[in-house]
Amino acid sequence: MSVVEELVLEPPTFVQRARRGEPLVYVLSGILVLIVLCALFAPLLAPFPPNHGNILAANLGPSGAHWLGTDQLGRDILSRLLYGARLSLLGPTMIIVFATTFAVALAISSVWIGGWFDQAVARLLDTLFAFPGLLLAILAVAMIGPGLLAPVIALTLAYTPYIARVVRTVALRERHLAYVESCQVVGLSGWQICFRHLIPNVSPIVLAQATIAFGSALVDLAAISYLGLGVQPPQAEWGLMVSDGQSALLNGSPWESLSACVMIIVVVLSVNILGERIALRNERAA
Amino acid sequence: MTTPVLAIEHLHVELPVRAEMRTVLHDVSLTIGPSEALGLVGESGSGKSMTARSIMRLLSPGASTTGTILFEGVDVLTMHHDALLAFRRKGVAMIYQDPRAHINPVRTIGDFLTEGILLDGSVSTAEAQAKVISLLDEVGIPDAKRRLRQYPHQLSGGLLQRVMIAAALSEEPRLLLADEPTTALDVTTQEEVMAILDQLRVERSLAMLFITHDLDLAAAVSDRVAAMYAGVIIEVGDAASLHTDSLHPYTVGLLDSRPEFGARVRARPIPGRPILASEAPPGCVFAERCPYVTERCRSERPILREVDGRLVACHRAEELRGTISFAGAQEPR
Repeated sequence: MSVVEELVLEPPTFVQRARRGEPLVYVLSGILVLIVLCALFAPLLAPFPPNHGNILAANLGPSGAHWLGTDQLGRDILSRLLYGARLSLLGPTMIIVFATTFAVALAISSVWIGGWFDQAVARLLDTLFAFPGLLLAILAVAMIGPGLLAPVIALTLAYTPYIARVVRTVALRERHLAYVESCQVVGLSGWQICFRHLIPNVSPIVLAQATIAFGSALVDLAAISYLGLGVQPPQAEWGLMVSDGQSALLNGSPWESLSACVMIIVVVLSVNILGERIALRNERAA
Repeated sequence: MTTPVLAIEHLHVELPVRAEMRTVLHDVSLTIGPSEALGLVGESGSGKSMTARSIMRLLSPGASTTGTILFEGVDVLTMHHDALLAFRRKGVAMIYQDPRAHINPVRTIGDFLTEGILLDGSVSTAEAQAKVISLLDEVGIPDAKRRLRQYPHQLSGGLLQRVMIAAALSEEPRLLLADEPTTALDVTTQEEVMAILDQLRVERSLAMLFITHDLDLAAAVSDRVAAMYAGVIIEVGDAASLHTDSLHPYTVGLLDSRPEFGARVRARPIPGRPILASEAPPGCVFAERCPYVTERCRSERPILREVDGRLVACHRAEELRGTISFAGAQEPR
C-alpha cells in the first residue's frame, strides 16, 4: 500500500498573498504611501519654506526654481502642496479614527446588549444620518470658531452613523452565530467575547467602510476649507489652496488650484478604489 | 445520600414568541448523581435542547423560568454574574451537535482550545499548549501540534467534534452536557466519537446529560434514560430495562417505531403528530395519540411517580404494564 502524503494546508504568508493580489492595489497603495511620506518629510523635501513669499515673483508658471510655479503671494506651490498634505491628511485621518471607534463601540454594544438599548441606538443613528455633514460643520464652526477642530468634531459626528449602521448589521448576524454562544458556555464575559471574537470578526467590514469614508471625509474637509470655515490662511491646506488660487486662475495662472485639485482627486480616487477592493474581497470571502 | 451534581426541580420555561409567551417546558424534574450519565430522549421539539440551554442559562432574553436548577446544591437560575461565569468556566461543559458552527471560523484550533484554559490567568501559554496537546492525543487526534495551527475549515467534522470534546474536558468540569454530539457525523465516525466520549467520561467519572433521539445509543452510554414529550418528562428508568420494561405508552411507541435490521416486522410509527409544548392539553400531553386514553387522562395531568423503581407519568402504568402495543392503533381524525 502506498503512503498517501497528507495535504498540509497552512495559511498563506504575506509574500504569497502579495503575489496573488492585483497589481492595481499595489500601485494605489504605493501612491498613498508616497504621499504620506511626502507629508511626513515635507520639511526635508520642500525646496522653500511654505509661507515664504516673494511678492515680486507672484503667479509664475512652472520653472526650474519653482517646479509648480508660485501663487499670488509669490510662495512656492510645490512646497505648500507638500506641507498642505499634512493637514489635508491629518484631518480625515482623525475623523475616521474617531468615527470608527465610536461607531464600533456603539454598534457592538447595542448588538450585545440588545433590547431597548439597541432600538435607541438604531434610532439615534438614523437621526444623525439625517444631518448633512457640511451643515453640522458650519454649525460647529459657528460654535467653536474656524480651524481644524470644529470641522473634525462635526464630521466625526456625521460619519459615525455611516460606519455604525453597517457594522451593526454585520455584528448582529455574527452575534447570533453559534460560536458566540459556545464562548458564553466556556465562561467568557461579554467584554471578552466582544473584544476577542466579535470585533475581530467584523473588522474586515469596518476596514472597508473606514477606507471609503476616508475619501469622502477628505473631500468634505477640503470643501469646508474652501468655504473658509476650516484651516485658516496662511496655513497650507489643499482645500484652502483651491480657493486661494481662484483669483490667480482668472488671471491665467491655474497652477495653484489645479495642483491642489489633482492631489485631492488622486488621494480620494486611490482610497476609494482600495476601499472597494477590500469590500469586494470581503464579499468573495463571505 | 450524596448531593446530586444536577437537580432540576419543577422547571417551567416560557419563551416570548411574537409578543406572546409560549410554554416550552412544563414542570421538568431531573437529577444526575455524581459520575452518572443520564440519557434524555425524545422527538424533535420535545424540549431536550431547551432543558440543556436552561441549565446553561442560555435562554433568550425575555424568557421566564420558574422552578430550580441546582448545580451541586446552588441554584443556577439565581446565580449572579460572577458565579454564573465561574459555573460556566469550571462547573459545566457543553458539546454541541454541529461543531463547525460552534467554533469561531477565523481563529485557529489552538486559540479555541486554549482560550478557556487561559481565562483565569494562572496558566502560562506554554502550559496551556502542552495541556491541549495531550488532550488532543487523548481524543485520538494525531499530530496535535500541527492541528493547533490549523483553522476549523481545514478539519473534518469528526475531527472537529473531537476537538469539541477536548475543549469540553479542558477545564475539568463536573458535568458534561452533550446535545446530540454525534447527529451531524456519519455513522462510522459517530461510533468512534461516541466511544471516545464515553471512555473519557468514565475515566474522569464525569456526570453527563446526554441528549439524543437515538434510543439505542442513549441506552448504550447512559446509566438511566429519561424520555421527554411536549416539554414534559414522561418516564425515567435505568437504561438496561428501557427496552424490556418501558411503562409509558409513548416510550413503547418510540421503541416500536425504530426500523429494525433483519426483522420482517415493519416499524410502527406512533399515529398522529408530535404536539408542541405550547399546545399541551390540560390533561396528559400524550392523550391525543395514546390508544389507552381514558377520561381521566384528558382531564388530569399525570405526575411523575415511582412504579417499581422507575418513574413514569401515566395514570394507568401498573394496569397496562407489559401489554402496550400500537399494532391496532388508528390515525386520529
